[in-house]
Amino acid sequence: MAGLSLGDVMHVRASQGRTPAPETSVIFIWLAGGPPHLDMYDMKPNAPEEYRGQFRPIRTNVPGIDVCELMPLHARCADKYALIRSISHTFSDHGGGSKRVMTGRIPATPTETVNDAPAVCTVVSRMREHIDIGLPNVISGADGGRTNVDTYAQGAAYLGRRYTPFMVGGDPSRPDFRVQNIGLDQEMATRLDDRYRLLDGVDELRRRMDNNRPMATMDALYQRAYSLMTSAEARLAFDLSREPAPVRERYGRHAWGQRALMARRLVESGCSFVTMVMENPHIPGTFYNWDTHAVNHDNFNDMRLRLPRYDQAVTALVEDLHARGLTEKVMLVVTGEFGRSPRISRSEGPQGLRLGREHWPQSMSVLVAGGGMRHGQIVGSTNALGTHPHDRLLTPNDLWATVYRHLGIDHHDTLPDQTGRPMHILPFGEAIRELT
Amino acid sequence: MTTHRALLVAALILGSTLSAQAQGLLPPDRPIGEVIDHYIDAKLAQAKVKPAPPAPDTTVVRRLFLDLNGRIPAGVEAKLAAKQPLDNKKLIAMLVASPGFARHNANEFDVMLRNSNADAPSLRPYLVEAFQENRPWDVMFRDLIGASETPSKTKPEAFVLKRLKDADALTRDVSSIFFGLNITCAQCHRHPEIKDLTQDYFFGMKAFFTSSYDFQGNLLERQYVKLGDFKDKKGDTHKVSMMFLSGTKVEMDTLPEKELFAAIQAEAKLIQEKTKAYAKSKELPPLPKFKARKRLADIALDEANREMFARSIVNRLWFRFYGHGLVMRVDQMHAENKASHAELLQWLARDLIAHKYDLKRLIAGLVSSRAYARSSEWQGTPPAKELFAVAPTRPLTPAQWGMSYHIANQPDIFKADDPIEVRQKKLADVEKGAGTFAFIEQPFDDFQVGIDEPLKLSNDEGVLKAMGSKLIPVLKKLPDMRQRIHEATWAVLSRPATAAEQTLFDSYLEERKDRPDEGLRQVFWALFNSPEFRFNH
Repeated sequence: MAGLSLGDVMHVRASQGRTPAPETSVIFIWLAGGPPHLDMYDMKPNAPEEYRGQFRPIRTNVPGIDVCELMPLHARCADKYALIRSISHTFSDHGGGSKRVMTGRIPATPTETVNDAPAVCTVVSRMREHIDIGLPNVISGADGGRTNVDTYAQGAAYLGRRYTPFMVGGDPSRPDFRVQNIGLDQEMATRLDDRYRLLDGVDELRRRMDNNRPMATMDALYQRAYSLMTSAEARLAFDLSREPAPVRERYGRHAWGQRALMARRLVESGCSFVTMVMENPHIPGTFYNWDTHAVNHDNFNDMRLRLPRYDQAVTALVEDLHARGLTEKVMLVVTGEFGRSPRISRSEGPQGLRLGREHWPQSMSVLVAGGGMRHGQIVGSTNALGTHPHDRLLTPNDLWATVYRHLGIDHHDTLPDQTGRPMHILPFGEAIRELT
Repeated sequence: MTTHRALLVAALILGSTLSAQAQGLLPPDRPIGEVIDHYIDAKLAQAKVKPAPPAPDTTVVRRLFLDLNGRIPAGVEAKLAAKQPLDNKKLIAMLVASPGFARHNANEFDVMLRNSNADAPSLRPYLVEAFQENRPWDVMFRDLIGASETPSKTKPEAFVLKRLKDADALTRDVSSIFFGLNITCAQCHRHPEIKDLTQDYFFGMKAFFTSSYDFQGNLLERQYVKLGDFKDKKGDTHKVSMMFLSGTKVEMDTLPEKELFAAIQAEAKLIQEKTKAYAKSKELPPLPKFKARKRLADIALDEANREMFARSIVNRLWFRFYGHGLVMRVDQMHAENKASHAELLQWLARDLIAHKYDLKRLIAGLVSSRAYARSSEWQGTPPAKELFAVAPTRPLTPAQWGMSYHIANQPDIFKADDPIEVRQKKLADVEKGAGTFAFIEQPFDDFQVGIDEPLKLSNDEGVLKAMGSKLIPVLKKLPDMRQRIHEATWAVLSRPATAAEQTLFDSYLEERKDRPDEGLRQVFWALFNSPEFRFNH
């Protein structure tokens, strides 16, 4: 190995460990705060005024599927996605709702976002830990300052912290956007080489203890870290400047659009599960998340500003997955922790009357695409006022069972909890047959 | 309203009745370390395994500092200890007498008492106080479940209070932590591994907490409760009554259904009124004559049952120092899960009871054996863990890691003649800075580290900048490179540098002599990221 620095040696060692990329991946778009299904995917134009709201539905390119007039790009490609209108649960707090949806389990407590059971993304991380593509297998992107795994109930609970997603904070549409600790530039990499060369020299104890498992784990982890930090694959996968300008424009030159584009690049590079949070649109006049209570913000003013941006980013991703032939490999899921109350609430404040919608886990809408699923359809329905599922009663677990099926993970398998008790990956739920 | 009587039900299925068989044990007056080696050696001989040799003195010193004071020795302490042949007993006596002993045990017990329960509060202030005065474990148990006659300002009963919203988890945690038996599996059906552990045990234990409630932040008990029923898998209904894990039942004479209902209603109304008036009156609702949690403590600590309580803490502490329990898992201590060294466990439990649950004595005893001081190195496939033939490699806890990092960064922090108050203050200062490493994983049974840790340590600007910031100026005062390397290695790894390390660092620092600070920083980084620092080995 003469002529190679230790960094080179480690790099060779690290890339030798690479495995083929998996055949299936998931992109999970998280609409934190809870989007108003009656103003997006489940409109009720014939309901009384205090329910139907201020927007009108428009027809899409699939007869029978209507969406909100503020989402014309959705209307253009309804044959490329499916909507589920009959998922519901019972947790009406953001914390409880997030834990319920993210984990596929009934949380022990109805508030706060620290999971007592592993989030689905962490289960995927555990089940795919043998895969090494030079990138973390599970990645989550969110605004800077919102990258704690507990912010959106993405904790691994009893699986352990090593399975939590690799968090990418910040706005990828900004020119100064940088992913921390991955794919370093040359100067940083040189300094890193120095450190690792020295580290190898203080490694005598570990070498003498060749079959010591904790020490071997630690060593493997440092190799993995080194591999990530110097990974050419990672540098490429995160580098949005490699996309043609028209593509970046189509997704939208804003955090949501570029996050969606990054998700597509990451799954193309072999990531197994990419979560992208679309929470704050950062548009003056909008609330920081989808939580448009009357006391927070006027739901309708907010949606007028927010939905066009959402429409652009999500449909760009849907169309792109189709255009690039990724609809078998990649499954896209778009949801929040719950829907919003069909009945409109009112609040008199200093700025005058505000109209809002409250937390509503009793009904919600979920968009799915890809994953070899049948597109251009609606699964289930809500009643006339949109307050409860009318037929095909489903839970978040049925959605996850569909996701696990796509990933080739048997959700009847068990993983041990902290007391060694075998826990089913999902305690209940079956893949949604209309989709598969 | 109630008179009550305890019934001893059938055989004790969950632990063996030990006192009856105590005759065959080594005599009670033998030192704990000797007893440990007697039983461990016997089993090794039987298995024809030759244990690892004693660890080098520098390793044992580091191990004892980490285990008894929660940190590595400061450079001066490590070098001082190396000047003469190691006297384990003397060092152990010094370490258990130092203020770091209480603080470290408070950290360890705080984690143990949480039992990975996200709702569990930190009880550190109480634990520091309790370990400072060496409060016996049975007294601490009473404090923690709110069964003590004398309330403590540091509110140990928050252990129960903060768990009231999830009574199932409370039941699980009390049974697991104090009695070494996780009975969650018996909540919905018979325990799959212990055939006699029926749902009665789960609901029986839970019943001791049914009357507990949170009144304005105070843990109180109601006088009137209906214990209710539970359904088994077949759908048959069973009446709940208080029952300890050994099968000891508490039968309460209760009011007839109708009167009980009225009494419950009346009490609820009274509590509501007291709540409204509380801001002004500061008055608590009346306390019941029958105190269920106190009854639980009395039963658990009575002569027939107390061995379970003693065995659980012995096994948990054993696990902490030997990396593997005498019974594995530590929360599955039941008759069908045999101890690897049953007599040793029995002897240690008897000793703990005889010495009034003195944890300091037990801890000092556990680390005084030859088995504890063995080398952690092993050539070839290591022997079964339950033989304790080789010392374990244990990852540092976040608290140990943080403290050690700060001590390493300040090798001359302690002067040999520092009075105890000065030492205590310096230690508290170090502690303040030690809590900032959230990315270090708390180790549980199965060692896991997130990728975050090496990434942050390798590349986080803030972490890298802070690394060695206090050590480097100290090292730079030393005249030559050799001494600097020597000093840095003592500071971080608590031993002298090997010849190979001297050569490696020497040539590296020579290359970097245009930026000497940066060079030293990198050396410090390497020492600090070596597995030798990350583990108690």
